[in-house]
Amino acid sequence: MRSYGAARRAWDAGRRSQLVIVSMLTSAGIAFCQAPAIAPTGTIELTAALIDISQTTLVATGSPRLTSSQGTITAPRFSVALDGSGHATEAVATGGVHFDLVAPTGSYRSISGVCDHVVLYPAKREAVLSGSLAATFQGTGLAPMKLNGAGAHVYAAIPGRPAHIQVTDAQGLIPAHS
Amino acid sequence: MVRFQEMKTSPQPFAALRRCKGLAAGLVVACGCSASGCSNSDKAKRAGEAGVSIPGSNPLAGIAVGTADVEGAQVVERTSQGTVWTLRSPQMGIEMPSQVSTVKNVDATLYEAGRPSIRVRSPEAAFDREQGVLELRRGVVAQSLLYPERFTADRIVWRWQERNGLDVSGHVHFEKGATVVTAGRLVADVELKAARLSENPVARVKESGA
Repeated sequence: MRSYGAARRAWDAGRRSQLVIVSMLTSAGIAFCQAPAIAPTGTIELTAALIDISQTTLVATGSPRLTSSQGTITAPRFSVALDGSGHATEAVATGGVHFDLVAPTGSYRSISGVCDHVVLYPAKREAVLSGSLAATFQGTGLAPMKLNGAGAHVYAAIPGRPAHIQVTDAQGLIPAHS
Repeated sequence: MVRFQEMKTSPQPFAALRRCKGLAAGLVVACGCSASGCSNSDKAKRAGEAGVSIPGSNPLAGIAVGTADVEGAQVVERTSQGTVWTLRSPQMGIEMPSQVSTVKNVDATLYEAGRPSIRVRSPEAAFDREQGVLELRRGVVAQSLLYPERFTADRIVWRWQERNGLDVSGHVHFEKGATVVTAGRLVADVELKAARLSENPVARVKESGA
């Protein structure tokens, strides 16, 4: 849990490096900042050694890789929940997740890093990253920034909802080169 | 057109069939022909003597040791558990009593627990009743009769006596509604309720609401 002072310093550091923090940092260590829209839209593509399909689930194992228009996620296991028409309603990556995602909007054009668990909610255009989160934000003309935390809830850019990322128990938002 | 030489020349046309282990196990070859001399009751009686069963209203068109060419025919494999598979073809050439029989331009239905489960069309099928193997090949188009799943591939091998699932190989293109998976191999139950794809599988899943 970070202190308010640390949060304030992170806020200030963010402003100096032109990171747009749209909301606030709280004493509870929750950070809101503008972030790339990482929840994929359109079609998810999965490659793996094995893909098992049942009536409600698609499971990919054996070095699976998920690719969408928003980037790539690799993890030991992916599980995609399917509705009756075969559409993905939820995609879960577990077992140590590496993500390398790009964003069509936002000050930072990419977010990459690792965490323990990722759940994508395609219909809501949201993603939840949990576990030990270590992410790097990069943007054109902006200094790369590192962010560590216990997890993140990423809201994609959809009408009526600003694109932002909420990082739980944020432990620092620092220049990547530091 | 029906060619059925054994029927015409032998007073006991099915006697030879007793030597064919596969036929004695209950193979049915039937068509809707109305060729002269095709007495259904006589044929049914004789077929029964030979251990060949005949579906209710379908007259027996022809079974012969050697080659039987039948138009508009259907081959039915049955066990005590019920129907296992049927093969329909507009023109069927079956070589008997060779162990492996081939059929061209097949419209097949495969059964699970006596229930029609999947329909498969292919340019060629081969079956070995002794080994309990049915192969559909040279390109197959399959549609589950119970679920929306379907696929195309080069080949299906089904070892029904071993109660195995379908072993599908070559350019597999599997569809479950908005989900499409391509792979080199697919193993699935006959209903396509569950499937495992391997050999470089790639799944493309449309997102809900996309």
